[in-house]
Amino acid sequence: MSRINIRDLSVEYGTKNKSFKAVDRVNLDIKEGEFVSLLGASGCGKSTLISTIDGLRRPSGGTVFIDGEPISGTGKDRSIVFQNYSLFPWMTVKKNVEFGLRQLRPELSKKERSDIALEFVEKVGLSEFKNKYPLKLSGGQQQRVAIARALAVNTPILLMDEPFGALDTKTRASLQDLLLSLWRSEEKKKTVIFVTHDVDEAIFLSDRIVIMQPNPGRIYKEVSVPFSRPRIRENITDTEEYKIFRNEIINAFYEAEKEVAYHDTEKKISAGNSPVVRSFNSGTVSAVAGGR
Amino acid sequence: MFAVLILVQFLPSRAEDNEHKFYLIAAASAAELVFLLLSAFSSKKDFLRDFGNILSVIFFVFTAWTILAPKTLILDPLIFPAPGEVLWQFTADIDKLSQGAASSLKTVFSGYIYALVLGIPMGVILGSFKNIRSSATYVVNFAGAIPPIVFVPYSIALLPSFDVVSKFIIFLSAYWPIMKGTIAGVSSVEKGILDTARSLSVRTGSLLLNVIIPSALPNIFAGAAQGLGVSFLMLTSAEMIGGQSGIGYYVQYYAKFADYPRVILGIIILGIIICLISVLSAGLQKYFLRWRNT
Repeated sequence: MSRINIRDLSVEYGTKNKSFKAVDRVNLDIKEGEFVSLLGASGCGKSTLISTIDGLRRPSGGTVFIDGEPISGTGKDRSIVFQNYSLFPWMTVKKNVEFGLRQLRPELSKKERSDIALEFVEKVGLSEFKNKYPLKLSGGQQQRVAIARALAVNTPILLMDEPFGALDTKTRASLQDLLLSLWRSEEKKKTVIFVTHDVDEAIFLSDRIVIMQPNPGRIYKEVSVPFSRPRIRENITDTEEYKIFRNEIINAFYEAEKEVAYHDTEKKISAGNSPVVRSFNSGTVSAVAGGR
Repeated sequence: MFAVLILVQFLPSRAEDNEHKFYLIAAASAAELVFLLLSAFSSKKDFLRDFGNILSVIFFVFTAWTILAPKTLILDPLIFPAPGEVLWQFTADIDKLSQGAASSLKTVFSGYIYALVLGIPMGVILGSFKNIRSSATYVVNFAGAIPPIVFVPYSIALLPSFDVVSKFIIFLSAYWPIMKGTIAGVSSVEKGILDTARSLSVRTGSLLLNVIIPSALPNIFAGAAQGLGVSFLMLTSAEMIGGQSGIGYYVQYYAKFADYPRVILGIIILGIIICLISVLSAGLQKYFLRWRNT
């Protein structure tokens, strides 16, 4: 169980007076065991979308189905890793993993919890830090712990919201490798949704890339990644095929933005407001005004 | 500094009463001995350095005091008694002082504990519910701004004994900072942390105990420490205004008789007690917040 179907999903932010659509009528189907990236510039609603799938946010319209059942809030079939603040800083590395287990797998005994926690802390290479507090670790190590917890709870669905966004290139690459090898090593592969704005990361990790566009956030295009697994970074990135595919994705990424610009201008003019002030010319207008 | 202090004690004195200088010499020697023993057996260099420096400062103050007051009489020996005199008074009054200290501490803690027991839960409630909080803020800002000491006359009329009045005033003065700290901590839990907890389907009770309160603990401690400081301030004020026991009362009482060795002694003892309490509270804080990156 872990098939995800998203139907006409809209999410709105805001107060009574002012609201804006962060996600607008998104439809997306994700197969069991599939690794899907949501790729897009900031403001395209990808984080909103993933937290709605986790159940942290209520949609204003539409439904998320998991194995045909509509979700109502967070559930024991899903776990999420954020870019920051995924860990509880007052719990040691091991305690953080144990706490996740206590919540999502309450049937385990204390001893089993401890054993599983240690096993996963070891899998992410942090055995010697098991009794350290998260704030004493580097950003990369903290995300390793977050991954350990997310995998230890063994939910069929793993949601990742720019988990490596704050890391340097080298650490990021090593965590991508770690994630892929852990994901592949499971008997029953988890369904993964991975939010990123990094094109290379999306290509390297996923089976399919969903490119999103902003204002309001929606899906622009879905592309399957043609590289077979297991993927070895150097072998893939050096090929001509990779360069062509990467260009295709980057172009789509920019087109997605461009279409927005057009869409925006059109909407503003058609809304009947003064086009000079409200459209892109506003930059020029204010520059002139500032020059006086 | 130690040697200078000891030498100074043997200078010819202009004051008549100099009989207690051996108390000072004994106390200084004991302190010096402790320091030497520590230097020989302890490897904590920072601690030893600080300890040595503090000791030197104390010795310097006592030296200056000895020279200015009993030796040269630049300062009036009635108001500035010889340091030995004060130390002698300490050994003579040790029973009275420990009773006074016990009474002071009892008063402070019974008021303070009520403040903790009521302030933290109230803070958690106000911190958790934004709607109640925004209206309660006005009340809190108004009530918290009134200096608690101003309630003394009215509380005397309301409450059965002055002891209860002191406890009530201490409770009031500690309550607001503790509650405000708790509100600040509870209402500013990182959204990511709350989302993580929700995603893990943490139940309300566990959320409070394992997530919200630990996250708010730094603010709670800050409020509690502030509350403790104000508590002691109010305690001594209350004791001096109308108390019948405690260190503040001791100081106030003997000042009436111009018994300045005891006044100075009371002040020093009070200082020492407050220092010890702050060290204790800093230690607790350090332990409970050991996860912080400082």
